[in-house]
Amino acid sequence: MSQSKIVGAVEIGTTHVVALIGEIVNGRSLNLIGMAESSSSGVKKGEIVDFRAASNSVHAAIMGAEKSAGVQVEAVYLSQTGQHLEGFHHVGSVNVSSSDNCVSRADIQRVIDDAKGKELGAERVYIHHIKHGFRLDGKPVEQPLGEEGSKLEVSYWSVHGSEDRVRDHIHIINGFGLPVEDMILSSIATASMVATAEDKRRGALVLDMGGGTTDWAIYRDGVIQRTGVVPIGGDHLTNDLTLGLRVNRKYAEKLKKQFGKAFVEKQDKGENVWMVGDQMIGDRCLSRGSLVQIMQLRLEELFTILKKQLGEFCSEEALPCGVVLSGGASVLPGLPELAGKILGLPVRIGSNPEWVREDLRGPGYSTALGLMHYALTGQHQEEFTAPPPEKGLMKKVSKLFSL
Amino acid sequence: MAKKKAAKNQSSSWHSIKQSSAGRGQTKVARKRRWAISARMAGAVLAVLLVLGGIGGGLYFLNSKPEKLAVVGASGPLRNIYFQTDGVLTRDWLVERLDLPNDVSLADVNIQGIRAQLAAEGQVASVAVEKRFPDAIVVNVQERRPILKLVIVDASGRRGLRLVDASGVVYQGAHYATDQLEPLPFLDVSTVKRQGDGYAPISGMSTVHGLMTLAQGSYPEIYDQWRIISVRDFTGDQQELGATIHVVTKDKEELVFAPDNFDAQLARLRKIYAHLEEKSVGPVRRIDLSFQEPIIKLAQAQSRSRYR
Repeated sequence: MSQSKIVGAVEIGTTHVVALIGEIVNGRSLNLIGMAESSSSGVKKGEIVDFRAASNSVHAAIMGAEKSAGVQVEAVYLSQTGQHLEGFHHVGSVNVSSSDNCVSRADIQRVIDDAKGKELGAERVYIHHIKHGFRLDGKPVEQPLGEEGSKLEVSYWSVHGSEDRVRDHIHIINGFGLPVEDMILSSIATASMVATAEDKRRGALVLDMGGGTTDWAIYRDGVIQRTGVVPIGGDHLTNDLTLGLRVNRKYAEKLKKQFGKAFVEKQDKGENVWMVGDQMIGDRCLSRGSLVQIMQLRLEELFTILKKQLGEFCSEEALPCGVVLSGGASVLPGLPELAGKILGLPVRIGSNPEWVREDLRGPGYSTALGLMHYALTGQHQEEFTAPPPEKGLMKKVSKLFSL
Repeated sequence: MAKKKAAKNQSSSWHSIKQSSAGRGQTKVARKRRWAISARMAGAVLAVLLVLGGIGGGLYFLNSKPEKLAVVGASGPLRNIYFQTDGVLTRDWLVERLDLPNDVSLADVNIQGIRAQLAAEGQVASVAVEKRFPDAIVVNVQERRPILKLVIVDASGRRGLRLVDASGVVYQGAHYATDQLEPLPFLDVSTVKRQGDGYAPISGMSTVHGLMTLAQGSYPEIYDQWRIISVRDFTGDQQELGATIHVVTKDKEELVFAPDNFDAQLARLRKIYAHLEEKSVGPVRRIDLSFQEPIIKLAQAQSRSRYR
């Protein structure tokens, strides 16, 4: 008899909330059965600033998804973003305890506890511990149990965040009467969707450019190596246009989408664009050069900060597959060129895999799809790594997503 | 599992954050959903209880009263005919008219047919027939009320008595007591047309009924003398020139009424009678009230006089 579990994937973004509902059958296959999206309120730079307003948005999205699916969700996989998130690389180290120098289970447990056990500051909680592998006497080992050596090490990329911020996210879901089954960084969820298997193996940076933040994750050797958040997103471009062009937010958003570009070209300087477009009373003629200039400055700032955060990883040697852009703001024309120029890396626009059904292939759904993907693969994995390479499972997922 | 491992670092993992189902972030949507879930659960519990109760009750009934268990069909043979009327017809009349077979089952009784059959009876104004399971029919009849008697002479010269109701329907009455029909005046009409097996309704009867009702109620000493009401000069159209209703009394007086404003005419007639009695003028042959000034024709004088 088959056992199924109804799970939800919820991404609380700065501009919109996405809720997907999936049915996990026997813990091995996933049917995507419901989806809804609502405009977000009470969220700034990925963090909840108005709990009540954010709750309304999130609950509306989950309710909509439940209605479209015709079932009730049992648990939620929730994405997490915001400037409060930080990460560090930590190596745990122990001496092998047995007299014959064979690594025992107890040694492995001790080294893991040592690596994960670093005390955090007040009001901070761990979100993820991403394992980078064991080393025995300095040599990488896949499975150290029973191997001979004297010093066992394991390293983790640990991500932690503000307890208050994380609690707000959890309690919004709890307010709808649902438990949070697991929490996944937005950057990790997105990366798992838009990065190819080769990107993950050889090394690539995935940039999820959302409304309030730009989340990033670096894949190498099939594992997430680093993650981070730059508190600049598409909304900042809109704000800059509002102030710089002295137009209201509604028209700034329209101008951004209609005439926006990542960098100024020669022909932009002499081109004028209309604010409203009807050329009636109240409409204004604006310089497209100024519009693009404002956006370019903000984007340059974003990529400069990002480059600084990436540090030694921002090189073609570390990231031979370059940068994969995703998220709603990534569709801006000229963005790959500008990002490539500043970061010094090849940049391309990422897309969700082809097996995802067509209406969910847009860059705005990568995170929610990644959460759903994690809901399935996370059932089998101890800690978050790249999706398992077995073709059978992936085929099943792709088949079901394409329904 | 990740959770189990994380539990070891409970002091610093997000898993250590307490999750509660009744969180502070309850919205209207969330409350609605909770209510819906609660209602659904309550409904499911109720349904289960009802099913269990039904099964339990059924088993109890089967076990405790087996001797009384009998399958009762939706209908059996017709055993009872209930008859209700607002008139004089009787149940025997009904049974005779219906003439149903003795062993007919209720299911085979055609109540539409019965209704049509009874409605065709002249005395029946309206009828309702219903099946009352398992073994009875109920017939409810509203009868016509006769206001006049009519003597019909058919083509063979045979005379027959018919009754006329306030709407002019001519019918052969049944089960009326003598004292019910005796006081009714006779109707005199020039022709009565055939209609099917019966006769066509006589026009103008509602006006005549108005005159009779008013006379009976307000001028009973006058009405008691009336024996024949003639509508030979009245077709039912009150505005018709020369339209009059004639009444013949016990004393062979002829009273002529215009077909409207009966109260004034009857009041005037009462005064005329009083005046005639006071003056002792002898028998009157005709009083015509259809004009503004009544015309009185005396029997002895053979002359007309005007009453003011």
